Amino acid sequence: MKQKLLFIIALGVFVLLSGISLADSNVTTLNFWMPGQEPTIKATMESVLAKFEKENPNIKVNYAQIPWNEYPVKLNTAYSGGVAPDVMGVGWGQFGQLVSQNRFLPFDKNSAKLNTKDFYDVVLKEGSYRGRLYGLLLPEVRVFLYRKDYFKEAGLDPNKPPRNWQELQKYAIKLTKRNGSRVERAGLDIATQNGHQMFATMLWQLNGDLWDEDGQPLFNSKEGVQALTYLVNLKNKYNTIIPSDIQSLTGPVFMNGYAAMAYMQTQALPELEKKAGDKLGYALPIKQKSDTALVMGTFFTVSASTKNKEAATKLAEFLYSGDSLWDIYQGINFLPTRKSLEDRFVKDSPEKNRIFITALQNSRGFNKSPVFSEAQKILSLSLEQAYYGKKTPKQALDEAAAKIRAALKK
Amino acid sequence: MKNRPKRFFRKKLNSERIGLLFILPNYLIYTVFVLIPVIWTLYLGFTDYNLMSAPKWVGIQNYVQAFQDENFTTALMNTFLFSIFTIFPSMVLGLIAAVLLNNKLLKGKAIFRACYYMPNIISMVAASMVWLWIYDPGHGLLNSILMAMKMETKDWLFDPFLAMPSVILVNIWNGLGYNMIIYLAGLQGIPEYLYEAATVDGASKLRQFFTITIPMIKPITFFLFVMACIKSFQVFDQVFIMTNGGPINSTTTIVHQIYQNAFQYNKMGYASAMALVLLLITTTITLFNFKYGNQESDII
Repeated sequence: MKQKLLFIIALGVFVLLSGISLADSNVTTLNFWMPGQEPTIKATMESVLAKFEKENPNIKVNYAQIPWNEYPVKLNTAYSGGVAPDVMGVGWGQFGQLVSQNRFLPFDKNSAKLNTKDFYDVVLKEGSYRGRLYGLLLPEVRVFLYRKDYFKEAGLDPNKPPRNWQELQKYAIKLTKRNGSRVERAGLDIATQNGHQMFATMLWQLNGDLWDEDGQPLFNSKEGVQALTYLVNLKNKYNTIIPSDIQSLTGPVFMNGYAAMAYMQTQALPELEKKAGDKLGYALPIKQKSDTALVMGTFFTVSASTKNKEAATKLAEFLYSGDSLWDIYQGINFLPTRKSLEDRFVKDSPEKNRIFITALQNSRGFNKSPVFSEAQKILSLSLEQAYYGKKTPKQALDEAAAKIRAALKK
Repeated sequence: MKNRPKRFFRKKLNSERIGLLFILPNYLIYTVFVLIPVIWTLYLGFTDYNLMSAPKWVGIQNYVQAFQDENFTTALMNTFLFSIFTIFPSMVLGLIAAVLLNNKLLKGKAIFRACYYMPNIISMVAASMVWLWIYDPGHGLLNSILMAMKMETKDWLFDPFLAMPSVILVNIWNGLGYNMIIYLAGLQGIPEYLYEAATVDGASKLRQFFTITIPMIKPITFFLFVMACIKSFQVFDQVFIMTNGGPINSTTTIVHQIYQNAFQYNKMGYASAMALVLLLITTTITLFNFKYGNQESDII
């Protein structure tokens, strides 16, 4: 009797498990990783993924969000161990390095679902490598922000941001608030540490470049020296800045209200608007020779090692549908990159969004480099040496270029 | 009679087996999480490995490169300076605090003990965040106090000459409480009659301190010194959070360079070589300490 009962229970369990495994065999599970620490990213992405799962009941997505500072390590380790996620967001530096190692699947540019013709050129250009599209960019463009209240305080017209570098320098001097020789409020927010983004922003305005498509340095050009000399003078000659580290956990100087002008990424806006609200002024990058903006951001990519190529591609395409992009913009403030969303985006907040979208259409990111992270660090260190007067701008940039060339050889 | 030795050995073997069985989990964990990674690191130190492709044997090239690398030699120098200027002040201040707290006449010892020890139990990450705010060049607490006192303010963490002393100060503040607690335990273990005898002989308090207290706590001093050496050579958290090695690499340390090369530039082989250099340094210092710093003490 006991044995019969046990047999029936065992049979029941077997049938049940078989049923589950049969049911599960039709479901494809994808792993999706997203970098970032903000809870808004998690909430937004989970809601977008829930919509995807509803549309595709045979695909389940496991979402993992990893803070930026741990992300490169975890992703590299996952690739190294053969357990890379199927779909992932990657930062600029990682994208350049991983794409050159053939770690991503190319997207089908002719896919009707993706409809690449609807994207801004910058999105297609920055996500491409050797003619193929590997990543779709969620952009954060660097626009010029300023504090209208500080402008008024300094006797400047709050509706007239500086139009060129000469004016920017004049404004920076005027807007700097000092206590003796001590700068209490900076005229312009210039990060002295990890300052390569600010340097690039200025370099773009002279039509210069950091490095070419192979990572060979170009920043020690006449334009590079001019841009760095300009920034160094604002620090040392005119004493208009508060030294800072852009990666500091306390946040950028402008974010904390201790600078009057800055180039900030659009993603910082929700936080800034909470602090400064209507005191913020928005403008396109200052035009010296060009008003090209620096664009950075996160790319959505599909791993070349995915075992579910079709489902993974489907997910990436879904993430880049108009509806998903809109949800992502609303939740995380990444600019929508489809032309078909432009009117809706501008209507959403005309004063600033018109500026953002114009800046995005005329923006450019860093070229890919096989030694991107190291090159960034080498360049940042050389900029520091110039800021602290250890080397002239030309010496600092020439030395950095030589070090990067050596790193590329290795 | 013949079976006696056999039975004895069998018994001994059985009890040894049981003993081994008890320590097996510990050794397993140690082997998997310490020994194998150390051996693997030793191997990687001689390879070019970027996590993505298989390690490629390059011999001693990584070591040659490390000692030609300006960043690494700077980090070595910074780490030595950091250690020297952290260990001694922290131990001396810890001892002074312990002696003061050991005074029977002092009221509110528990509050003082808690105040001094608190920094040691706070996460270094959280503490570094607080110090970041204190040192903030624009509106930090320290500069605000200096301004109120009409004194010159400084770019504490953004001045190449002041950044390292600023980080060292945080470390002294953090380590002082631990040293104090250990010293306090040592002081309370010194027999009272030694002081009584010295008092009868007419020795002053200062004389008693140098001829009784200091020799009696020598094992404690030795223990704290060895631990502090190992800890300060592995400094990373506060450097990473407060300065990230800057400005101009003035606060970069060996572990900071290992981290950068391994996890930011994917140079795992090169970082492993650096890690082995660090292992050699700490091992050498520890052995040196045990050889020359532990005479006449029964700590080991």
